[in-house]
Amino acid sequence: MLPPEITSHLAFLKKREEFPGLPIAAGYGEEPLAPDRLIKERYSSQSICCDWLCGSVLVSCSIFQCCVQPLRSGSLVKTTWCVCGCFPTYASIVSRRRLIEASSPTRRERWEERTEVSEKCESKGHCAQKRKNMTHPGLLQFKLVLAFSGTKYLRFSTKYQGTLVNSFLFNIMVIILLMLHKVRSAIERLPDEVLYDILSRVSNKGGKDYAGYCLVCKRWNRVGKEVGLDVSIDCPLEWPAFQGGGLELGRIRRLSIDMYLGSDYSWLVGLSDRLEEITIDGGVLEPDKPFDLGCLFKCSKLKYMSLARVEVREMARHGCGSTERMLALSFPALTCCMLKKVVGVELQQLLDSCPRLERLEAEMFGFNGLLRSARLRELRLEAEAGGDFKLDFPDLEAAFVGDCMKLELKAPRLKRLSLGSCQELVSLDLGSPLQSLDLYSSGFRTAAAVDRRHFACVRLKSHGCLTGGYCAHKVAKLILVLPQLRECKELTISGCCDCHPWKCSETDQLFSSHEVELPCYKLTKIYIEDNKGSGLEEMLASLVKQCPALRALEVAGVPDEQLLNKLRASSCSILQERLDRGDWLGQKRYNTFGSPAESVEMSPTNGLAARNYINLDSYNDFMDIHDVAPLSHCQNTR
Amino acid sequence: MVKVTLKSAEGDVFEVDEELALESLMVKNMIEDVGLDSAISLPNVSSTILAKVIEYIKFHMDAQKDGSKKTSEEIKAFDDDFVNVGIPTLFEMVLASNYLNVKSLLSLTCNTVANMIKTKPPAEVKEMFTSAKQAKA
Repeated sequence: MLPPEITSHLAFLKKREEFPGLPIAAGYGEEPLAPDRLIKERYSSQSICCDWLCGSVLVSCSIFQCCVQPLRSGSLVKTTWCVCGCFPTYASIVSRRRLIEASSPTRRERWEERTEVSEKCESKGHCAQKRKNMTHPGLLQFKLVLAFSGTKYLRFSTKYQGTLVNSFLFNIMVIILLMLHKVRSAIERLPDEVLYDILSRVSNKGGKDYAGYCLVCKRWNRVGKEVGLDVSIDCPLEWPAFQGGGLELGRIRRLSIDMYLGSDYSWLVGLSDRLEEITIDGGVLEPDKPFDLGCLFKCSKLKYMSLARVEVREMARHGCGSTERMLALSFPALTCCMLKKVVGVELQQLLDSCPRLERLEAEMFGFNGLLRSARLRELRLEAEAGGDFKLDFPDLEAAFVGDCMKLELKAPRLKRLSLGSCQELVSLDLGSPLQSLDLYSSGFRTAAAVDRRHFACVRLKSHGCLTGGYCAHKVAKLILVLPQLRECKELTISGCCDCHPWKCSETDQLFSSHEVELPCYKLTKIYIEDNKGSGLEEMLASLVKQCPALRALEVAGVPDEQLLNKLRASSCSILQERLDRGDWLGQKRYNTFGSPAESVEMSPTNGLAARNYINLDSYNDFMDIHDVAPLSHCQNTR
Repeated sequence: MVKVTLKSAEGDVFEVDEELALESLMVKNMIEDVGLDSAISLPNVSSTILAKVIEYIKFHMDAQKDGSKKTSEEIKAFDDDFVNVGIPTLFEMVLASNYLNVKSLLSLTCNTVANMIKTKPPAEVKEMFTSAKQAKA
């Protein structure tokens, strides 16, 4: 609950939103109403003030940062600011800290304006003193300003405080309000860097300035010119148009090229240090169309680089530069690099060239050797032809390691690990227990060699038999036989299956026989991400039956009555009680890393509650699991 | 709970929790420099805008606390409603968040302005912002 003083101000702000002409508080100088609008709509300042003040919760006006200079504008004296009114009735000087600047207008037009105002005053029969003041409006303003010299804020309130109806105060107020007309608005006071921040969020797609903000004013136009351009060439046919259209390479901030059909990439040398992101998809890998990383040597602010299906040229060999230049090539600001089917990149050399690189995704044709970086926090490494991976990343937090022949991983701060198949897991040097462990294709063989303390949260993801992976039902069977999964508390199974998985004879035999001791005593939450396979009821009933600690179960989609009946028929007493009460679903919904995000009320017909990720992706032959020896070289710092 | 006194441009005083005040890096630096004994003067932030900023910070602090029942949809709805103000007020909030160094609010307000620009044709953008500037002479 917000304090009353805050809510009152919020109420005032709401009021002001309803009446845009209402002046804003001091120092902010929002213009209450444009002088030309006063004239156009034939409002007197009195009526305007009435509109502003009557019914307002609070009106604060300030002369802070005001100067008399704007009073030279002719529009000010054309308002009938000499008219008396019955308000305001109360004025107080809040503080007297700063002296505003004041000067008397001396320009010739002031006298012409004076005459006009004087005539108006005489026609309305105002007193001589007022006429006197009015005949010298600039002088009056000057005196008033002097009278309040040192006053930072004047506050006028419509709250009735007595019988004081003072035209003098009213005049002051009107003057101040008029002065506020000329106080710089918030838009104008926006610093260039903030304006740049705003305009940089407006994409300049197509390699041209966005005309919208360029038209607002000269300053916006100028700052907008400093904002880089976003160029996206999605269609190969567009390329000639860009090439002949005088593309301003030096102004490009984001460059994206898909299906590049040009002869080479040498034109990229025109890119400047404004470039922050570059994405190139070569479409087809062609040896005669190499990409020279040296083209980007000026791009010192490059933060993101994504290359796909390109051959990176070794500059020294191709005569594009000396060996020294190649070694000196660096991307000091690069934080994210993604390589897909890229030839010619030495990953370790790239890591050495990017001192700030935090995320590297590399899908290579093949890789062998050591990778080491002190800054890298996220790694995805896949090699089509497998390879021997030696990875040493002291700050790594998340890793995806695809299929490989050998794996040696040292990552003491690793929190999330996704594993493919590894013929030989040489060593796994991790620190604290993993927050999540994802097992992908054939990864279960590898998982058998991983320490059981990392299995608290497992995600098993199959790709279906059509993709050469393994169906979820086989994964589920492994849950029952892999000793490490006895530590599993939260399990997610995903991936569709097209082979009637839960009716598989092997599964039925496994569930019906008692040859295998089911290890899921700690499993409390299960989430089935894909509710597509037939026979889901049998699988769930079997799982529930074998998981005595299960508290929550979530299945994507809407479970039908048949499924519920199957679950009711299970022997799990706890779930049975919940089903009978109609609240068998859990109480919390969990995000990816298992932290509670929200409380949800679940009903038997709208789904399940626990959302936790255990990824059993796929694995080879589950019968082989029994033959996998524990990892003898596995190192654990804890 | 330690309280911090913030003084707006008009001299209005706001007492807020220290935890809330520290969300502003500018206020945090001020506290480190001058301590909590005296009110922290914010001459560039009006009372109304300061109240808005406090409202924003308080909501998001509550939303991030353990046990909060606020969903991401609710938070987004609050943010949408929060920036659903006139252009002058929106720019004041940009200025205030920049001055107070509240990065999340600065990002939210800058994004809002950018979205206003993006979703309108150039003529409308020009009219929208030039009219908001009240036709400077």
